[in-house]
Amino acid sequence: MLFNSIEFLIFLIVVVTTLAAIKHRKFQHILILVASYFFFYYTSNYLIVLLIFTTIWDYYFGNIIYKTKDHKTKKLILVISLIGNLGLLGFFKYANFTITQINFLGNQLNFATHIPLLDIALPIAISFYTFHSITYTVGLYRNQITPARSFTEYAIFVAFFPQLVAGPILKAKEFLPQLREKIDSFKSGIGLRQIIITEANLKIGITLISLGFFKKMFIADNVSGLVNSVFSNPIGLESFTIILATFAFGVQIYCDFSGYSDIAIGIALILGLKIPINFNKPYFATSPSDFWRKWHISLSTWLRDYLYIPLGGNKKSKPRTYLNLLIVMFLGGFWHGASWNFILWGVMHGLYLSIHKIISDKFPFLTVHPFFKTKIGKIMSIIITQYFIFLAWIPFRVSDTESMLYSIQKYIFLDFQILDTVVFIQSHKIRIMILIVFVLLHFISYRKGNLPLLISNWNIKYWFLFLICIILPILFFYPGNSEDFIYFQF
Amino acid sequence: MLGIKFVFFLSFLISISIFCTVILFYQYDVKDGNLISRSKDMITPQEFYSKNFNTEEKKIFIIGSSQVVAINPTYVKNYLSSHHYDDYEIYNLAVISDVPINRLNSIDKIISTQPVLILYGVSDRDFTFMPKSIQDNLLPDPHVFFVTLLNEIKQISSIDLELFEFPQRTTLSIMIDLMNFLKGHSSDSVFYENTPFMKITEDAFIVKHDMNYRKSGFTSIPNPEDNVNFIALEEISQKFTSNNIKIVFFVTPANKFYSEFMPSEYKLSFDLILDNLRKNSSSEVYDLFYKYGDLNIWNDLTHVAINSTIYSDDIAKIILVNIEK
Repeated sequence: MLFNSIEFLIFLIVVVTTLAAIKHRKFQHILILVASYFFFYYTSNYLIVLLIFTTIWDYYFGNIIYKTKDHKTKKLILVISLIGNLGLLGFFKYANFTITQINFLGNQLNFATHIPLLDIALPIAISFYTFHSITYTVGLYRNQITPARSFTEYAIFVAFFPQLVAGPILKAKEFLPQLREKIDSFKSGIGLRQIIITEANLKIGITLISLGFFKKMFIADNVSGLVNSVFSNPIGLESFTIILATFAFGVQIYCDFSGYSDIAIGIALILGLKIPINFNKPYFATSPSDFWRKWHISLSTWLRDYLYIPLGGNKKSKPRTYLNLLIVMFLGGFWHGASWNFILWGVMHGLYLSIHKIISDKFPFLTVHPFFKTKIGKIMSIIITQYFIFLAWIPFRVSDTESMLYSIQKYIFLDFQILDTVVFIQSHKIRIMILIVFVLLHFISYRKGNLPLLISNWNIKYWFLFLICIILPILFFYPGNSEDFIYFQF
Repeated sequence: MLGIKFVFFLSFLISISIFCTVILFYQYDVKDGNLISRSKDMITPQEFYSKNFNTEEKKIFIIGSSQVVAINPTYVKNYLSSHHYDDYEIYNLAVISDVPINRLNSIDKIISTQPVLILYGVSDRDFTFMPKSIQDNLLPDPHVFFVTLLNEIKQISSIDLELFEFPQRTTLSIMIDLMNFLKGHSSDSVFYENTPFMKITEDAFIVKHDMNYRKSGFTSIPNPEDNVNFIALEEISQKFTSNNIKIVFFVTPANKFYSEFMPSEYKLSFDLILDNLRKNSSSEVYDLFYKYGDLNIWNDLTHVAINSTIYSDDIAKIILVNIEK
């Protein structure tokens, strides 16, 4: 069920209204769970069994991990649990990719390998709920959390519908305590807490949801046409057209994904639950590491906590640190999709991080140089960083090798031709205007800090006008073909 | 103090009201308490197919997307009359952005009007559209309920709900009309007989000369066995044939700057579709794709300007050949 659909609107109104009407907390939580499963079933049909399997699997193993005292046994059980989770993810997401590579290698070595591909559907959200579940079992292993008091509590954590299909990736240690009844600031009771919808949460939640829809339906869905018209066949196009389309894709994926995250966070807030923010103006990042502190924050922190740190992080030797960065980003790219272009994207970011770390280690004075604290210094850092970030978007978007290499070449080595680009801009006037609107609004939000909070604190009259100003462009410029959220495919 | 819920619902209601008012105001007029479409030549498909056709007339329908709209039904009728075929009535049922999978929905209605010949214009674009992949659902699919409900509402509604399904298209039309108005151009529709589903404006008659810009935006054409539009087209062909209605296909023409910039893989895929169409259907497939590439008759890279007769002339000849058989 897409967020930007009539069905979801009806679904959300029914769920929130019913939750507000039901005062008994037990029924409230059952309703959230049933609603979450219905939401997932609507999109994935019989593949819901995988979600239920993952939930039961980790709930069961989580309890055993918690009760086991012997450290080695604990570790073994955790490994079994991880094999189950990652095995499922690996099979459904990477089996055909593996078979394709084996066939390719076999043919290169003259073995005439032809293993047939498996006829399996890629279950929606499997990358996300697998990672949710892993935070639970690992959290128990590390003694960071206590087990869920009931299966309902754990199942809500895994299947919570606002973030189920495209994140933000929840961590058990952050979310489970929110579901529990508060006795005081430090202790929680044995039951799940009552869901109370407050006016304050409703206002900020609606503000976030509106902004999310605006980003997705007004900006991302409209800009996608410009992106598709270039990258469907970029060969022969001028450098400036390629750069424009690359920039547009950067805007599209940001608005699409952050829009979705805003909607998810907004819905959760209405229900009184906090989901971590996923984006913090990444296109103003001043370095690759700064970018990853601002882009898909829930994934980057997950990779840091459950991959980078266990590999040794930056605690081992310098070469080992650089290697860890490369491995983490390689796997991060691979997580996005079973395809070499995503791996390339991940490797590029791994290189960026490693090279940035090497430069920082070799020339530590640069990290504290006063020039980079000045306005010009910051602007330069942003421009240089974003040049490389947007370069990496090309393999992310363009899967065909020839088209990808052509686009990268044209991005890096400018041809300074403009005739076709001018014609291209003229035939995409509205989309270019929408890009300009995005740049202006994004800059305003960068200067103003937490814009949704600011807006939700406005006087009710101005907030009313804000809603109309947001809803009208969405209605008038909605293309009508509901484009899937980009991250649904992961 | 007004509650948040009230303010939110009020803003939503006001926005929807403004939106609906603008859309409806643009498309409809109120006369004697009834909603009348502003373009008197445009009627809804429902109205067209359920009207009382003259039972004596032999109907020929030209169907396809906007790339067939330049075929002038009056010209074709006159051509046939000059060859002593006076009792034929030609209708151009072009629909903007039409694709076979959408057209399939109206085939039964077309069949009910008992035409004698169908001329279906196909282009490469018709076969690129892929609806979102649908996995085989083993369990009941609640989405079907909503789609069925929506379709039923569309059937009984007297308002063209497509205006609200594709709001951007309508908004852009409003903006273009506004710009034309400011430039002193008319956006009123031009009378074009027997072309009920497309609004023809003065713009469509203009022959543009500078076609030398690269057409970008070629996507990919899936193989015939995976191509939902090709499969729909075959079904269309079968339906007509099983109801003893002759169907003939033609490939719509394109400007040379379009055909030359077409990627070779894309062209091969399109050729494969056409080859399969020839093999699988018992119908003729006339190829006009390259025929006018060099001529100065283009409104844009894939649309012939309305007033050029060569296109109508060739279609008239195709029709003549097929009614003589």
